[in-house]
Amino acid sequence: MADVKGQLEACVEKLRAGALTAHDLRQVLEHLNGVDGTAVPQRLLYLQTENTLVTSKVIGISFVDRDGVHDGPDDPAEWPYQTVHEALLDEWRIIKFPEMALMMSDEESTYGLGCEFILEK
Amino acid sequence: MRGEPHQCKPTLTDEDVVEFCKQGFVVLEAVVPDEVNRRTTAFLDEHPSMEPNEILGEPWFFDAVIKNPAATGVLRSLLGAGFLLPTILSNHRIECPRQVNCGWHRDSGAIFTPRLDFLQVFYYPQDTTQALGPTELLPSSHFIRGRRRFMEHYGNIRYGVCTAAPAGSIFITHYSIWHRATAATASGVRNLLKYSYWRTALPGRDWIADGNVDAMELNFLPGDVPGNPMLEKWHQCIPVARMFYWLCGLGEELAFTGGLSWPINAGYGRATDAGLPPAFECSGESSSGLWDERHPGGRE
Repeated sequence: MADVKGQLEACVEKLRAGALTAHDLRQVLEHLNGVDGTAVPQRLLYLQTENTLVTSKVIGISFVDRDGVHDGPDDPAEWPYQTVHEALLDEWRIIKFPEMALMMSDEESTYGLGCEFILEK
Repeated sequence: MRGEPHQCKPTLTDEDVVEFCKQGFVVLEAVVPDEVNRRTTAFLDEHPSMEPNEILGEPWFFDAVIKNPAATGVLRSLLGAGFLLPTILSNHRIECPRQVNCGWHRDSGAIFTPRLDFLQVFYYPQDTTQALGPTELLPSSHFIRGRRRFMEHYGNIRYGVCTAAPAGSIFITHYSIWHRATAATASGVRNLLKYSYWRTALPGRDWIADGNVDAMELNFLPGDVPGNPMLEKWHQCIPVARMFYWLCGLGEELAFTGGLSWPINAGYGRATDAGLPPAFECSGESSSGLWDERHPGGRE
């Protein structure tokens, strides 16, 4: 993403100088796509946590990418992120926060793994 | 009535029963003799269907596996006298290696209730290492509501327990417990027989009940303080206690007073019995024997 930003800034400079070409813009487009020229599909990261804090411990994990759905390493110590915050620092973006409506039923019931964050890249 | 009522002695104590209520399963490692494990494996090679019910007609299997003394002692404790033996069974037989093909789930027909009317049992007739794709269980998950279609996206869970075990191991499980298949990386065949036992008697603390056990000293918290991180802190004692209360024959309605009352205050030697149900109160001369003559359940 940093490369793309730099390329766009270079394009702005070229535009100001009257030197921007279609080739310049196509190069930026190629960087937005994968190396084979096709669009990079959205990647998803499901993280279930102990509570609603992004710094709470991750208790469940799974990924979705071009190749399908993955559980991640079996050993929790090897999970790439131990908190949602660690995933944020690795440029994952939250697209869904834990579902608060799950608390609306009664005080005793626990639904699913509870505090689920869904993130994307 | 299909199914044979079985009579045997219970083997669990109050503490053991509470532990089952907390965890939702009991592991009995290598309790079936090797010779029976070998015969079972050979039989299943000849009957590789998903429901090899023919094996229930084999006395050597029925006596050593279905009526296994270690298993039936636990079942007798949790299901009461005269529980019904299984009349059908299934085999989760897989050809290894294989990728995981089913995610976390509760088996069809699972319901949420403090009642314990039946138990599902797993039996491995062969050594089942991690490489043979043993079932993974999620302790205490019988208290977590979840519908199968809404659980499929869950991947690895920190507190999952692999059931890798030696040949002849039996797992007794609460039917609602979350479980899943795991990937098998080895070569060969793995059998996993699964069958259920059913209650016929009313519940009534019908295990090795100790007259001196104090319900204030039973620990209803699953996991270390303040409890299993998948469940609500401390509050998770309540469904455990409700299940135990029902097993004691006291009904499905356990009133929780709130705050640090029973069962949250139990198990840590606190000088209180706030919220303790009347049926668990000390009787007369006994300083701590809570299980008095008013108790509706039978004793051994």
